[in-house]
Amino acid sequence: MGRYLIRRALFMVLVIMIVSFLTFLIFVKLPAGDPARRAVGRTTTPEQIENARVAFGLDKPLYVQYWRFLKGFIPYPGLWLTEDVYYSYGNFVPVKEELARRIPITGILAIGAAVIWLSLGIPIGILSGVRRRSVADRAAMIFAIIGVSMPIFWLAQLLLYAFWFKLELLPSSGIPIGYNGWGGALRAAAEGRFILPWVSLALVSAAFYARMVRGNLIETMNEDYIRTARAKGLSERRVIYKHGLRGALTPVVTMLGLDVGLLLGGAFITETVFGLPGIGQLAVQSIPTNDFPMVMGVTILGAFIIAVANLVVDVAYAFVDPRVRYT
Amino acid sequence: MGNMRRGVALKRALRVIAVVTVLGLIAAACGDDGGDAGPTDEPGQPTAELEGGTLSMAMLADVTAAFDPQKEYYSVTWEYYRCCLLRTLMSYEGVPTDEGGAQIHPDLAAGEPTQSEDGLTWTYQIKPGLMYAPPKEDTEITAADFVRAMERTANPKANVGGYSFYYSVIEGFDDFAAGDATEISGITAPDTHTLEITTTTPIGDVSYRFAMGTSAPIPPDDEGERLGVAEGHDRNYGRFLVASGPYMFEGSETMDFSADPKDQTEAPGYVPGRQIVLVENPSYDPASDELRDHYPERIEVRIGGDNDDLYNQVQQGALDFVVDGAVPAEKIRDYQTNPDLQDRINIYASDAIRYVSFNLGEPPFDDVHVRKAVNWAFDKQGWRQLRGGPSTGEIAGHIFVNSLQDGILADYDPYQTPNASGDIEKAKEEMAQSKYDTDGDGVCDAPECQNILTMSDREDPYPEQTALLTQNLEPLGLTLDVKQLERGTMYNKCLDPNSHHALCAAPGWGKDYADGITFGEPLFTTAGLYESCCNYSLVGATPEQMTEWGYDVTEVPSVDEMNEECAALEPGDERFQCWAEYDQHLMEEVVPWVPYLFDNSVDIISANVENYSFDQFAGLAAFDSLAVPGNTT
Amino acid sequence: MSRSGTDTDVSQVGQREGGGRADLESSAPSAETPASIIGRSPWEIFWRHFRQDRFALAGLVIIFLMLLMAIFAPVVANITKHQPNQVNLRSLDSYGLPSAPRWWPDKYDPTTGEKIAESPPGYLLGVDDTGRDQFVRIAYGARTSLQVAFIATGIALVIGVLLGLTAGFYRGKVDTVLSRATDVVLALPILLLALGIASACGANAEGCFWGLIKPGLGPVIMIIGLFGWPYIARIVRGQVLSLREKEFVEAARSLGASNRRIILREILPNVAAPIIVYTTLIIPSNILFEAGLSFLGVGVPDTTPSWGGMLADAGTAFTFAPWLMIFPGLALFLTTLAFNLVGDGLRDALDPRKGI
Repeated sequence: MGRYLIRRALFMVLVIMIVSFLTFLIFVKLPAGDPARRAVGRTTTPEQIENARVAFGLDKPLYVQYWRFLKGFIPYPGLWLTEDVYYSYGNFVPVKEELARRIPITGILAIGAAVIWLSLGIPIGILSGVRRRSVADRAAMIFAIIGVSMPIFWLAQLLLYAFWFKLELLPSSGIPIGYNGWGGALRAAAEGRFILPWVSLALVSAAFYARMVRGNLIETMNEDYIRTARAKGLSERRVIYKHGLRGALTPVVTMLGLDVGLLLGGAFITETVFGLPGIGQLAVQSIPTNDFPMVMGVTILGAFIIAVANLVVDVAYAFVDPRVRYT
Repeated sequence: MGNMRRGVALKRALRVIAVVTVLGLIAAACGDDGGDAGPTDEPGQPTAELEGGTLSMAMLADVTAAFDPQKEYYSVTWEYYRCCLLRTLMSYEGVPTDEGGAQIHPDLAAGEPTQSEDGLTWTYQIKPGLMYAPPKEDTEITAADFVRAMERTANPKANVGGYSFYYSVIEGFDDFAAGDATEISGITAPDTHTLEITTTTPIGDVSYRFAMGTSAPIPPDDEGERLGVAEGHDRNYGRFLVASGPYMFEGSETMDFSADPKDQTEAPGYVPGRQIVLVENPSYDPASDELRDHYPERIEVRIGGDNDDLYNQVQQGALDFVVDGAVPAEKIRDYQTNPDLQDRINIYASDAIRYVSFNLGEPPFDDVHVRKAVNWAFDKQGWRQLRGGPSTGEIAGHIFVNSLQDGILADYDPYQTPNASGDIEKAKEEMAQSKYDTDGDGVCDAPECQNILTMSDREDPYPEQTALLTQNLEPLGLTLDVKQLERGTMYNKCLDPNSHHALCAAPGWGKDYADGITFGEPLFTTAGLYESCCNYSLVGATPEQMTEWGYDVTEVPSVDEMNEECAALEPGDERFQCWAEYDQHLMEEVVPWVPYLFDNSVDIISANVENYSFDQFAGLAAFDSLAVPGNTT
Repeated sequence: MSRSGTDTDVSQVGQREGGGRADLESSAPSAETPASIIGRSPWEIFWRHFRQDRFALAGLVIIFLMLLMAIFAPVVANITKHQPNQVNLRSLDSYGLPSAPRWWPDKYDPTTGEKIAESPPGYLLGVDDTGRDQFVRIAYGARTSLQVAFIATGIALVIGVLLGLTAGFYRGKVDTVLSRATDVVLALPILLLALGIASACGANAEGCFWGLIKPGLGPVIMIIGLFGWPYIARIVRGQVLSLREKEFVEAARSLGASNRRIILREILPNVAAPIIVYTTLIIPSNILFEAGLSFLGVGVPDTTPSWGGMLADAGTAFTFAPWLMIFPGLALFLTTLAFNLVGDGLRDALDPRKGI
């Protein structure tokens, strides 16, 4: 087990290294414009531009630049996203600070949506799986397939149109002044500012999870050990809830970890449509403007979170399902 | 909902169309809509009934350098400095040009400066007894603090992205900046309330250069460090800004400059990317200030949000003003047609021009007939319609903004067409004379006319406008290959001759100050070529440069001489006339552009705002003049 | 590709890369259905089940209609006499605001109460904010989406099958290396990198990859292809691993068949069915991914109509021009739904035990 963990951790490191290298490659080798020139005012002299280049460290050779950025990956105080290097080209703010400010928003978005889609998707899936071919099942599966086919940004727009514009039930964009940190984000959530974003995100995922739970449940119910349980005389209910669900839900655990990991990595579209100042919005803004330190910071943060989520899920899965061999 | 990126892009737009008056040589008439604003009053003599309340504003994007005065080259930040945070030696009243807004007045100076015999030395007296905002409320503003500001302006670590080149004219400035001198010989404080500035050549506009944020005084700290409270904050002094104006960042009093710079905490009122909260500066002495209104008691600015949603909030009264947004076309329509709303929309000329530029080195635009043909075919009315209609500006018939020529060319439009919608017949006649139209039928048949590389902006309304352009140029046999880029990227590509673009379809240019040289020099002379800025058409490039950048075309027209002629003239009618001739020469002989719009600034205020003034210096509403006495929370 | 067109990395199949590993190993649908009593071939059985699934058939019809629309888009343009990028300023009012389709019921501006302008005749679905015909653009948008559906998915398919076959058949070191590579690619934050590549590609006039890929749909297709193959590779590998132990492979080997022959003749036909199924199921993700990128502004440029791009334009206008949002969104939704229905139907027909 220990060796397995170490191997997985090393794999995680490898992935992060590759991600960092690819990101570096994209933004340095295929530049969307010299960051130094972008930073200076429009009436400028070559000296000003050179000054800006030196200030950003762009005058150094590429491998030196890469090394400087690489040092910022090490999660050690003093090195992690070090302010020397990770300083936004766009507005002269430390990357760390910007990320820390935005994490609560994306966090609330992700966790809230996850709660909703789990409480919606799993019961529907179970209901469908248990009562196959019933009207409830059909209805649920129609809902499900509509859900997985729905483009999130369209759904978001429809919801905004209906609930914000026409019915004027809910607030629309952004977080007001003074709502800082986790406390502020929770307060905003309490005021209903996250309801539409949660629903947009959750609906699609709920549909997906419903389908998956249903499929897994049906499959599990065909397994031998279920037949044994039935033969033993256990009530159907017991069969389902005690034995069937376990097999059906373990993949859910797996997926949940991955999904949340990805969400935390940046719910780009949702945050863009609803104007939420989270990490996804940061990525969407800083990538086209070539704000490289910010992009690196966001990418690495996202990769870390996803990798950790992967790891946790792997371990949990291994515990839960003893059939899995560590290959 | 959507288009969050617009906020970031607009920040860039305003940067380039930075309407800043550094020198207001003559208070030229605006010549345009004075704007339908609410009640106005005398600047500097605030009306007591209008005071109080919380002004609630929103910004789509944050300022560009976290309020660091030596770095910020952004008109929005300059408004914050002028109206609220920083007093400077001289300053403006925050009113439109035709109300005297371009005139400069003493602010921290006790009066007008005295000039030496040779015209090189300027002496300013500083008003005594003025104190900084907390935590430096016991520190008086002295002449040495201005020296300190100049030293920081020269500091290459601190002035990244700024405009230090405006101060190279001060004796010893460049030497200090290069590290060759231990002080700037040209700026000294013979006593605590006298400031002496010596320039290397006689210039008439020293006062204007000391009306800018980078020249605002920086207080000393208790340890006597060279850069005072800015010591140790080369990158981020803006977070620790000590105010001298009517307002300061909320919580400034909690800053502790006696601690090690690394341990100091920033002023909590400004949270980058989130909020700017300004409260009244207790040290501010209104009696010493004739320029500002300082009506609101508190200013709260929220950063971020969706453009359209924010304007909805203004309409509903939840917000009072949007600083850097673009009023959506349907809102403009609503406000202009609804009698209840009409006095809450403000339209002022922003003294900027929008245009399409040709690259004179890139075929087929190396042929002047092709360029003229495009001028004839261009549907300027349509471009304006796609931008939002007539309120967004006046159709431009020439290059220089009218106020820079005293209106001499106000009716001049050498390519005038019915309803400014383009005239394809005239265009074809012109094209027939081009070498690229081999059979003279008015349609280009050379391969150079296919897939013309066009750099454009991907934000609205530019994609729409380039679609229209593509359509307009088709009958001439010109087909476009349009690249829709993020705004900053576009400007980079337009500037870089190595990109070999043929058309730059989405730029704009605003005056830096009210003189034609701010158009004439950077846009059309050799001084504005790459790596400097902003000559996209390559007018004045030498054959060596053209070869170096990989062009087959090596001969391009030059107007350097004409520019020098005009620059040498004294301000007055002769100089205006010279710029007018320069403009005409460009339009008729050189044809580097199709100018299409003299831009307007359009903004709306909420029903809570009982006073409004347009500050021509920053090209925005004067924040301190927005009175909201009823906004008490 | 099972990666996101949505934020939650919604895979359209009930299996996922990470958690699905064990599932794939243990419950891969068997490709060789034993001959039934009636003696029909596996393909006939497959078809029979598929035909009975009305939803899947409906999906096929929708796809077919979309294909028609895509193919005949130029004809539509000719009939209406409006090209997709043709600007008609007269269909906009003096503020540059679009007019409504003539049949639109609610013709009054919500704020001012005035009558909204009507489009000139001939504009079936109204105009967008440039005065371009929405209907023609939706027709051309079908081209974009279907190109992504088939070409991009096709690229991912080819790469995935090749690598999956190789890994599964040769096993050993080859398999280890390829599997690790698959894991790495799967772990990459695709939307982030896609944003980066698309932004960077769009900025260069020459395109990416030294001019091989012109800006436009090219980079998007390339990204989907590059990031989408691991999913298919995984599945193929799983299938091949189980198949290579079967008797008919041994039989072929004992007859002296070369490895290549075995792969091509024996194994490939038997993995064809699951490949088809799972490929069909990742098409919706790919379509939504391209639409998402276009929505964020880094997909295809404005001159190439894309449903995602049209929704982005509608984003600021839908309070007074909701038709700009409804129709492109509907087209996108229906197409995605259709592929999902067909994919579901295929999967159920392939292995009826697992289905309804």
